[in-house]
Amino acid sequence: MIKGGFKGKILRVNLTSGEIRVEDLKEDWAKKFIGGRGYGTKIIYDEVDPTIDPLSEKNKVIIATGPLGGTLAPSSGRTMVITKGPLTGTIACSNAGGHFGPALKHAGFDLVIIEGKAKEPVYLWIYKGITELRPAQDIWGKSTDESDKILREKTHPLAETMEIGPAGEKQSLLANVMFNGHRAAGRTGVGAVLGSKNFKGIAVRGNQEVKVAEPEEFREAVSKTREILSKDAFSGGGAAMLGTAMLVNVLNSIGAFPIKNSQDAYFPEAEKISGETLRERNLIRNEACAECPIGCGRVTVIKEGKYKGAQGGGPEYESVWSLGAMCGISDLDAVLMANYLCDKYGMDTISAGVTVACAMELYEKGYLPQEDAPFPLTFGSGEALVETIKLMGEQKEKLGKLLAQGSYRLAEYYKHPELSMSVKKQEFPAYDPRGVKGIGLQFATSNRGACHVRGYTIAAEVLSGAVDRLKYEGKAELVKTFQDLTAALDSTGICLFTTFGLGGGDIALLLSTATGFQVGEKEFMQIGERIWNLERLFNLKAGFSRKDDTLPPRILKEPIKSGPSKGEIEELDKMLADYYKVRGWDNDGVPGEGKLKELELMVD
Amino acid sequence: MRIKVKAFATLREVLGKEREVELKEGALLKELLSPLYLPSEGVEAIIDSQSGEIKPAILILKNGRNIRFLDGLLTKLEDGDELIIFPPSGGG
Ligand code: SF4
Repeated sequence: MIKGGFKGKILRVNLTSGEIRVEDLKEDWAKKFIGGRGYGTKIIYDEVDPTIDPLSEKNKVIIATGPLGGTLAPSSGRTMVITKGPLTGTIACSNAGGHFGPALKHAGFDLVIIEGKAKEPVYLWIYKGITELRPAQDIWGKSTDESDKILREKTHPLAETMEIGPAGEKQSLLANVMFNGHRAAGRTGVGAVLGSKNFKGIAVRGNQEVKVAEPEEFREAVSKTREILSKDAFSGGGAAMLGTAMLVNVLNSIGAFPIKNSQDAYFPEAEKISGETLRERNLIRNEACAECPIGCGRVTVIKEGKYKGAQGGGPEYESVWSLGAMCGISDLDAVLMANYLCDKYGMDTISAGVTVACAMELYEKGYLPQEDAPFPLTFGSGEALVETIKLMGEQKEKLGKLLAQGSYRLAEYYKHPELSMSVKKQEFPAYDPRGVKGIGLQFATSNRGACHVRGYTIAAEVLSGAVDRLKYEGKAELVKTFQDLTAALDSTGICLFTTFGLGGGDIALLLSTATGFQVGEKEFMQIGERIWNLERLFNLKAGFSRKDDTLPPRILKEPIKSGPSKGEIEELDKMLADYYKVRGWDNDGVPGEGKLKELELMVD
Repeated sequence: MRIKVKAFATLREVLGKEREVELKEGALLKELLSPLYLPSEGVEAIIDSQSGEIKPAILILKNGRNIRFLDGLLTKLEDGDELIIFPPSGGG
């Protein structure tokens, strides 16, 4: 019997038959994989054939919280979406903040499994023991913020919602899943999988309490961790002041801030799109997810010019970079507008921006012919950015349809796939590996394609400066540690940003006292390693291998042209073999029998 | 020699956005980070008055390189250097 944290119930929704079943959470799985990303990955691994087409009826989508969701643990509002990702073809897990996860727990469930395919658009309503699939015909086609509003009108004004937008409905590979219309499970194209199933979203409300195993000890762990977070200069103040966009000036100052599709890594106009400028010009208020003392979210408005009056959530650091610097754009209003549009369509801002940047380079080099471009796609043009995002979101004209498939398929169509800044077909986030060596190894080995939040080595390589960003030594261990820690953390239901203040031991303590499992820091890290290896096994079965653990040729061969990291390239070979060794994998990146035994992954 | 000092985020309030400081040839970073050249609240925000060391998680870059991987407070400054100071940062 699980003593606390978990609700112990899973909702399985079969869209083909319309049947909804309640199942018990398996205690032995919860002990081995916790909840969230870990438990969800285990379900996908066991139930989904890794070789299927991700947009076919056979794929499944898991929406999961962890045992800390819905409790008083700090920053415990996360929700994970796990599936076989259509952008990459790998296992995919994308997560979002907000309040949805806790609401699902309050309604009595740890996770929801969506399988099959509905004949007509539907949504799911979960409320006080009622779970029902309802028609969503009249919401289909609506933007994510409108969908959120309508879902609440149709169900309960205080319901928490999850929805896809037009991008997901049209199965764009850049489609995300939004929560309450503005918190995004952004990456890997998870929204397209729901779209392929005719599944619009979920509204949920509940009032059940989440019990913890050791209430006294848990309360102590909560106040200890909250105190650490409020004393820490970043989580206790800086984050709320500038949001994640504070990183614009940091990354640019070290010359690892990619611009113009990574043709260079220093942006002389960075200040114009920085967190500092955003605060001065556009910030309306801060926002925090459930139980979060950090409060990094923002709501902004455009105060002048042709987009005057538009407002929305964000933008995050990643988005001001992808829609701004990566496209050579310093017009902050255009960046904000593009960001709001992406949210409305339900499109990942990182991949969308990097895809626009790729299109701009293809256009400027003459590979994307004028007749395919409805207007000039020039670097630096805010107007071209906004119009291109509209084409992409609405899949208008030939170019719009190509853009909606992401940069790799776009560049491949125009015969220059090397101009896609992606790994495993997923676009880069806002860090140039040539100027921060370890993050390149992380991009190359990430189980869901290029990604920073699978192993945020930036914390050590740049922010705390614990290790030298330009050295290769020790980076394999560093990457592994961050990857394992994050995999475990993503399975608890709390936010990655807590790790700027908390260590694995603090989080293990929250977990142990909530669930009654005896998990110390070492066991916690091992759970993360187990999840990482299970994800790897799925990808190997899906056909991925060592050759896919790489970076675009530009990053490996073209030196950065200007700024503080001028002259640098990324020598991935100096780290990759080491990384496999540290992981206990063979030269081809396959986990050895010894490692699988050690991690108790041999049962199947 | 002239050194440019830039500050970001919360440190702008105490150090100003950007300033140029005139120093004697061969000066070390330690000398620059004193009330002689910078507002005293700014110095307090970055240097631990007890130990005289840089406060944890304060990021100081000389021409884009973290001074921890140069010679720390004993890093030699040169004419035209750009010094950038960040308060503890995070995000992702
Ligand atoms: S740190 Fe930011 S993203 Fe994380 S839970 Fe808090 S407000 Fe949400």
